Amino acid sequence: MFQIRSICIVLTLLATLNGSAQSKSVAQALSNYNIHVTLDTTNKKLYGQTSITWTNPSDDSIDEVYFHLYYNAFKNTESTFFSDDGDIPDFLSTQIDEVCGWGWSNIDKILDSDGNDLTNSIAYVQPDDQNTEDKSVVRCSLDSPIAPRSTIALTLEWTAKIPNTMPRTGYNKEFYFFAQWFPKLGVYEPAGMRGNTQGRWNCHQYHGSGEYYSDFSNYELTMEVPHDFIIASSGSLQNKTKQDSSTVWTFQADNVIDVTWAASPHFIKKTIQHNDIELNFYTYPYKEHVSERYFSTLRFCIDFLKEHLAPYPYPTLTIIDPPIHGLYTGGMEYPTLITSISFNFFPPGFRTPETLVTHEYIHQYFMQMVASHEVEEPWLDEGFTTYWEARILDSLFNENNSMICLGGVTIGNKEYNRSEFLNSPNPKIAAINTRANQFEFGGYGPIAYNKSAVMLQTLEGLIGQSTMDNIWKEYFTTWQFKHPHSQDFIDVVNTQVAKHLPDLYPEGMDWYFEQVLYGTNECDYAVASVDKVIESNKRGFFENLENCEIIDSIESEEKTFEVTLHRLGEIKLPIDIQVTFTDGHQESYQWDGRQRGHQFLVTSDQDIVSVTIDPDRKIYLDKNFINNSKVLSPNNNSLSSFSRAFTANIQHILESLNLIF
Amino acid sequence: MKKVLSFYIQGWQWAFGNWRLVLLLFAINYLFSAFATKPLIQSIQSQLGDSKMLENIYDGFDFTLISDLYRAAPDTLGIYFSFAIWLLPIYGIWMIFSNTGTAFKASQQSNDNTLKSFWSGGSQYFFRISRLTCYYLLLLIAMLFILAKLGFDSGTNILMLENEDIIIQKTYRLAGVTIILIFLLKTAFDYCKLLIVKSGNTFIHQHILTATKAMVNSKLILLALVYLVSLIVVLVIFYCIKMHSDSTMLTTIVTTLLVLARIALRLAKVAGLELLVEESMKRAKK
Ligand SMILES: [Zn+2]
Repeated sequence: MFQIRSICIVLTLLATLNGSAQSKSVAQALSNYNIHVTLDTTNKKLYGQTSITWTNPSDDSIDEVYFHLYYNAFKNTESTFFSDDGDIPDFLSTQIDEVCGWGWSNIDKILDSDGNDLTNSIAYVQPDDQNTEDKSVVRCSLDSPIAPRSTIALTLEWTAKIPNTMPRTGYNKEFYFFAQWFPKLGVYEPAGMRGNTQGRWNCHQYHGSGEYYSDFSNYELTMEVPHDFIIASSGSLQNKTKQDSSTVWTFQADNVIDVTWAASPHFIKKTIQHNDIELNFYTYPYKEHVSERYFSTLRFCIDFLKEHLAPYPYPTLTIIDPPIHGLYTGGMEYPTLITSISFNFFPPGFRTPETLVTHEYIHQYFMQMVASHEVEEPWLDEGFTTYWEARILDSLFNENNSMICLGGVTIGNKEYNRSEFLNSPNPKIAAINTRANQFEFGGYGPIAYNKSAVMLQTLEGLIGQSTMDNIWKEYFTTWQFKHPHSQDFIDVVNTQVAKHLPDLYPEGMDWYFEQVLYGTNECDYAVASVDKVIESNKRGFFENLENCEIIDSIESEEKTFEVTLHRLGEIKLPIDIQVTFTDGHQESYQWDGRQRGHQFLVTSDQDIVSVTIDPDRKIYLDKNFINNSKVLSPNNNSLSSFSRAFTANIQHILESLNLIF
Repeated sequence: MKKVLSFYIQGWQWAFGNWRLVLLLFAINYLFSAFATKPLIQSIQSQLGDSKMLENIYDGFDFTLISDLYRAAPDTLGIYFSFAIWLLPIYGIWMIFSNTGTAFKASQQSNDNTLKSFWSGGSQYFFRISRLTCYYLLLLIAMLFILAKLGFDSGTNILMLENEDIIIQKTYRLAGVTIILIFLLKTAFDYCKLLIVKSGNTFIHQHILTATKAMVNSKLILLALVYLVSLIVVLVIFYCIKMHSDSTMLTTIVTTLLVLARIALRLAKVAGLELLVEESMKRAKK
């Protein structure tokens, strides 16, 4: 532990010294939002006025705009959000009818820059399904089209009824959390972007699974809240002034795809500075002690990603650990604001706060800066994030205890991903590149998160960590602020592999993605047998055609073994084989892994001790590591020790039963 | 308190004097455990066979190995538990028999270190003590049910909670109360067993009443607490040694000694209680 930390400190120092040379890039914001919102805690409502300017990024003339009204997903049980996923989670619904906890969002008035009232030209639309009860997307026809590259200004007056404990947002008791809370523009994708042949609005309804997709904007946020409320928000606090009946807070967040905020009279705040970033942690007093766990993890994450991807470019990062009754908002990422969750009843060996804060911080790069489409291609965000989560936490802690380290029970983050994928009810249920709302029969988590991470882990095994690191750097620098799609990532992989490993993979890596990203097949290689070849005597007619002969085999010092390998799964990957001999020396062999089986001979003056497929576990996709090796004379010492220890534990359990007899 | 400590010390002396009984109880416990472990070990061996991963099975907790083993043989644990469940009633019968025999032997107050009175007492009073055990189990279930009801009276919806520290404190308090109550109840149960084997009566209800009344006897409460503290001390000492030893052999020896110590403590408790019963009976006669 101490050693790992020392290495981290050195890395941190080096990264800091190096940091001045790296520049922080910023997005080209297409829109500016100026939002003024009043929180009515009595009627559980938000009253908002928004001024938006939006620039047409395309060569098209656009005569309509689309807005997300995400809160309408919580309007009733008939929304796509609830009908998609079956029902509201039980723990949320207990008091929903009692307190009328449903929510909604409504545009009361919309004007263009010429003062034309467009309110009557708005209509609810359902671009994903025919569910007319779903009101999470609204289209507004404009009086005059927006010319290519020109800017439009709109003014909106809107009201939102705050839901009670809905997924990721709402209020419970005195705790308020506002996510996807204001009318937000969809994304206009010009021809050529994300593989589109022509320009189009991309504005999906709110689905039960899957997250969001938005464009880069500058936000000026003004919130009016009761005097005793403390606000934690995306962006940086600009101003706080007291009025007669409320306090007005102003925040500024530039070049971000969204803004989120929380309010509670019980928040306490802790702040530290790391590099140029102000880390603001908000929680309830009884959880104050967790702050150091968050801060130390985040310091490590910030330095790690600065070194491997790019520096975090925003001046602030807000971390919220909600109270237990705000649990429904924990473990979520928003631009410059992340939520985690910790439980005082979990011993520190459960690294939940560390895991969550790492995961949500990584999202700042893929959800926020790269901003891929979280509904259409969730793996580009969740899969990447899960892969990096394992990389960071396995370096911060230890490969076998980065998730749980409790009284001898240890679980590593990377191995947990593999297990979540392979132990899911059906690991072949869908391909990784499935849309978030099209995991019809489940599997969103195990496939989009865990299998994606295992796929990337295996890719790293095949091409090596240094090429993988080059891929990540190029992908991030090329695509940050540009909404890439899957093919853009594959193109970067192929470019880097062609550059660094032209001899190893002359045909690039499309064959890999075809099998693993777009396919659902399994990977399993096994050592089938290792047999000593005994040279037998030759018998029959040889030189003399009249008499049978028996020719003795030539005595040799060398021993020959026949090793047989099997490919049990459909996925074909090149694999390494390691043979260990009695004197301890090892020899390596390769197999392209394409045929159903493979046989080769090993000749040595030593006996073989064991044969192992993929000894470095590069092929992390392999669904069974048990059959990856064969030992010729198995040593049962370990099993005997295990048996003795297990028996002793059973003895204690039996003795404890004495309490009831 | 002085009296209670004297009972406690004499109890230990009796347990040491009856080392043959301690060893017998240990041996039977070991046989049951070894029998229960066998199918699991066989299953692991058949699954891992000649895989290199078999060598890792004792090198600490290997989540990947467990996860792959579970996938390769998902029924292993199920089969194992169904086997263990089937073994449990047999072990229960043995526990009733051995606890009865121990109580009878303690009631003889002789230090002959033979097992004759253990076997004869165990068989003579087996059915009476079985009946008593049924009553005790019912009482224990009722008590745990009431405590659980008290513990979760606010419901299980954590979104209704103001602060999770409330549940933590409640759980700690409840766990403390439960352990003390179970230990007290178990001590009264053992007290009742001694009354039955000493009197030789077929009707046990009178003894149950006497034992229930004894639950408010300060000496019985103190004795129960002293044994509870002893058990905790024994467990803590051995746990510390186990945690800080790297050697498999040492860990196995320490774990074995711990089982022996727990069995000896159980015997010491019965012998200490016997002295208390004796004293109460004398006082009643006066
Ligand atoms: Zn995530």
